[in-house]
Amino acid sequence: MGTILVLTRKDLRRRLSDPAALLLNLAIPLAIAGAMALTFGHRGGSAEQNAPKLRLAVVNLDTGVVAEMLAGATQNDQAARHMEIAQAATREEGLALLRDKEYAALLIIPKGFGETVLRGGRTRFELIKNPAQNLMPIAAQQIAEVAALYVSGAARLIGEDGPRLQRLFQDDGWRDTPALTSLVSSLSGRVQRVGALLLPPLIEVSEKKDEVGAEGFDFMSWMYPGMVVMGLIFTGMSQMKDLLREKDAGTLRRQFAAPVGAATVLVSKILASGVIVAAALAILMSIGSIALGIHWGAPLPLAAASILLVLAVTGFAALLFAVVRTERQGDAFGGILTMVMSLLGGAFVPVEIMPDWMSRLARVTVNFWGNGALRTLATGGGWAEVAPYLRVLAVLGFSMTLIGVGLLHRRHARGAL
Amino acid sequence: MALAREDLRLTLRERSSIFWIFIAPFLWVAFFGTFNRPQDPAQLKIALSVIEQEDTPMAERLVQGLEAENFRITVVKPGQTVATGDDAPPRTLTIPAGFGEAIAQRRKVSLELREARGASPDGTFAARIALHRAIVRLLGAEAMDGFDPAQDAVTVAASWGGGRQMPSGRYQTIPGNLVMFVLIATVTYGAALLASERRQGILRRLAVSPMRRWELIAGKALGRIAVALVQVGVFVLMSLTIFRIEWGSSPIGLALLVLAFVCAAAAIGMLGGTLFSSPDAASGVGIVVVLAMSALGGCWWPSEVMPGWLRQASFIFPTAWAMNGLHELLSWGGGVREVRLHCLVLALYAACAGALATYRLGRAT
Repeated sequence: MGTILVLTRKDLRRRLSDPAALLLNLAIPLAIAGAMALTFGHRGGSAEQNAPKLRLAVVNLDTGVVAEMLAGATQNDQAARHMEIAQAATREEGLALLRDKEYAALLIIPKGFGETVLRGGRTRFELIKNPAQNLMPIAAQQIAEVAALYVSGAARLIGEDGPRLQRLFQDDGWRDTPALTSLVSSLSGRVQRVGALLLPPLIEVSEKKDEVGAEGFDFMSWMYPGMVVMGLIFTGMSQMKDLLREKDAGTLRRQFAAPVGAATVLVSKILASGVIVAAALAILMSIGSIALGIHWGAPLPLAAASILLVLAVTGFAALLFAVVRTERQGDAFGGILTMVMSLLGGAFVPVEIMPDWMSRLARVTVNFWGNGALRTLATGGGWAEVAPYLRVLAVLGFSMTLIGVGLLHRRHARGAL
Repeated sequence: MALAREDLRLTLRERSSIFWIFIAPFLWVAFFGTFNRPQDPAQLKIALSVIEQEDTPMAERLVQGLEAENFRITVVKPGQTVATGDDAPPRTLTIPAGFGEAIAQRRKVSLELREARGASPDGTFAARIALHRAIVRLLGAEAMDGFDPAQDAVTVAASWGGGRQMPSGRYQTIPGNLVMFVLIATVTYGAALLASERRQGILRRLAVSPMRRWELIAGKALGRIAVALVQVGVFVLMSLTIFRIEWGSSPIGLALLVLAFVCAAAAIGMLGGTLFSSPDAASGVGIVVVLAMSALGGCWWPSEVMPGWLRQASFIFPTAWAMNGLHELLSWGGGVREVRLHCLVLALYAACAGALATYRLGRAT
């Protein structure tokens, strides 16, 4: 054991004398996480609070009071919190806002809109969605449909009094006191009935989330663990590559010539890689805590998850470099495998929404179990929630490390290492 | 031309570059295109479990209202057990006991909408809107003796600008991956190859040959451009035949934009190759820069989800110009006129990065 530790220490000193490669391995997940943090924000709130504003352009072609009120409603504080609304004079001007200023949709209130509604006729909003966007135009359509529902409700409430109401808004209609009184008495009963139920709605909706942490979904606490595991695999592979580099340089053969046994040398090499992977994990987690405010959960489950994750990643790298023949092959397959495993393992897209065959395949990747363990802890999970992930990481880690050492030893025995 | 041909040959000889240039883009587009499918709200179905804690006509009417909205409802009657497991709907609505009575007596009543772990935020947003509509309909019908959707005074006629029926998610993932993978191939491989040739002294040897310096630099740049053009060709072919997206109505506009972008990418790759003496460092830093530029330039996600300041700031990257130009052609059906500014800016990138690379390469050789 003492020999293994001496060899490991010597190896670590040599590898850490040039930390550039390690820093580059960590830079990839950090660059991805940084871009995501800038885009989706880590402002301490829920996904909903951090959601981007809906940018809506409105063209009001109607001069009537109903359309004016509707267009005015889009200016209130409530709407301003969730929406950025720009008024355009013409359809062309509105389309230019979509195309040049990246507004999500253009809502056109047609000419004669108010008159049609008040006369009991039917009309429609025209909504033109930005074809260069994906999500926000859909939200804009849903909101336009709610606005249409409100106007339809109001039209139904006013009913046959619509034309009388319209006359009041024309010229000096307000001065016709008898007409005004008659209209108010006709409408008041209906308005009271509707008001008791709808202003505000009698039915409220309270929202609850089944998140372990109860604070709601935090995008970075979900996303960052995936980047961490990906970065660790890159690190593990660049460290294990050192074995083949030493083989090519002839220094490995010299170490095998020492009276310590090939297995001791190989285990020390894998251990040195594991120590660097552990250091990378500590660095990435610290950056996650400091820069992104991620809480990694209770210390003991976190320690267990970290150790088993490092073991699984190092074991995977040992297995891969026991199979590939050259450093170039390792580079090529390593990069490809890491990215494919990251995709499948849920680094970018939740495994829950993948097709069945894909989510089954995800379970054979280290990423799936590593991501699951870190995400569970980052969202407030404890031993009970993280245990299934730890069990699989332990099995994967021990088995891949043992097979990796075995294969490397066999290669050495054949004189191929 | 001989230099360019040799560079192309060297790049295509590498198995890993074959993967990153031709296979990875296909996998990425197929993978992300699967999950990036916007749906028409009318066709969007949100799975929802409704737990009825009372069996009254009012609760029944609410369920019918929800069914009329875009929900796929699973009703759990009083006494029945709620389904759990992976197949259970990610959102559950509980109609409490005393719901009907509360409405009849005009008392406030609260429905509980519970969202399972991992439920998508956009699905929850859609559920919230649809639930609100169903509630307004139910209460409106109660207050006005009926509120039939078929008799609505106002409806919404929604369409997509640019004349497209329904843009698929691939109109984001294909241009996004095209831009990113062209950059990976030209910037990272280009920089690493150049750094390697500098380290091995190949460039110095070429410099003492009768070849003029500009010929050497042009040959190297052409090599990268050739690789990128092969990649773009494969990408376009793949997207036309397998993913079936249209590349707009202006082949000339597309060709100009792609050429300007490829030149900018090649020049940036060459500049990268002159900045680092080690090929590993050149490709390592290159990949980090490419990933950051791709993410912030709108290749990974639609730029509409970015904060306004970031959307503006992203135009310091060539990726944002390329993506914006591609959307202009593909989504809006624009032509040469609409992408001329994009082409000009990308050409400026190419000129500036190329001039810097030439200066540094001249000193190195």
